[in-house]
Amino acid sequence: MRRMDPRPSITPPSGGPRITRAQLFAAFSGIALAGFGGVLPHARRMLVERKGWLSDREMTELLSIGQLLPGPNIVNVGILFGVRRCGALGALAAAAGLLVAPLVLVLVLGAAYLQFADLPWLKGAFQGVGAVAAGLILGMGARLAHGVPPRPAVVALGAAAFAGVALARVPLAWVVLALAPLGVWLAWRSRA
Amino acid sequence: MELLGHLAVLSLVSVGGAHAVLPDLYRVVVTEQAWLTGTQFTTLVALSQAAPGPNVLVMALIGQQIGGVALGVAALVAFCLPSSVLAYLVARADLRAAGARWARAVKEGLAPVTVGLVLASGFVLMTGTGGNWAIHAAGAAAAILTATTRASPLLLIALGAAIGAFA
Repeated sequence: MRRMDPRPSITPPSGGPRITRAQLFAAFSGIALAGFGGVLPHARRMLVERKGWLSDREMTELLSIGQLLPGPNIVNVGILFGVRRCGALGALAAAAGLLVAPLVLVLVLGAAYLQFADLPWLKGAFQGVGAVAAGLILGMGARLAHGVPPRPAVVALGAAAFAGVALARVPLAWVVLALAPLGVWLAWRSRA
Repeated sequence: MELLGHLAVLSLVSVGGAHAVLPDLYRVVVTEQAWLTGTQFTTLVALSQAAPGPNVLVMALIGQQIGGVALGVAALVAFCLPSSVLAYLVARADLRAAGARWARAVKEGLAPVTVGLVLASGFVLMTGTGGNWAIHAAGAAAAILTATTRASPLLLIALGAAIGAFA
């Protein structure tokens, strides 16, 4: 059925269905455009439920690696999935699918904002919108905190990350380079 | 150029995704370089949340406001490329060979750092937003609703705009 395709996709080692780069691009565009305020839930809906490209367990594994790696989580997921199914160009197709259409949209919004940002009667509205944006992130942080066991070392680590960035305003690179290895070391030891 | 270099470094330490690096970006873009005001910065974050697509697109918005569309696109690429190369290398390596215990230690060890960074991000943006008590109360309400319900972010942002306009 895919014989006509001049650049057939690589059959994955796990024996899942064949996927072309165009299909990857389209699926990840769909994921990106469906998501308001976070697209990760839509990745599961598309890849597991609609396309059947991954099992539930494979999806969970993919998500956890994507979130472990630095960088935008969903882009990591796209790259990991794209490489495994279609090689390097597959990774590119997935990442492009995630970013290109929303980028165009957001640049149009940004251009509109440049036009209207200085209107005095909109100043209050923008302040309100900004405060809600901050609130959304705080709320998400609280949700994340819910999933972490409240052991003293864990709380201290989280508090140190918060204090370093929010209060002391230390560059993020220093905070992460100091605390991430410490956290991993503590977690490693607690399982020894 | 300075912005792009900074974003490329942040890419590799962005444990917890794009939101985790916002305070550091705020420090450079608003506090040190004064390329944008605090309200502009937080409005751009809100715009990226109100638009469909990954959170990381806020990088494109910030670049665009500072130096036009070209810088916007370059900012997004600068932030995505280093971490993407790393993800590519990881995908090529067989992770299962690395052992489940390591993977779990990394996951558990990074989780509290991620929580701290995301909360710091919300805090820095909240203090950077100008406005009166009603505006900050709207932000606090949005935080509580997001933490405890499945309230739509789009709806909350629209309410924030209305409260800000009339407060």
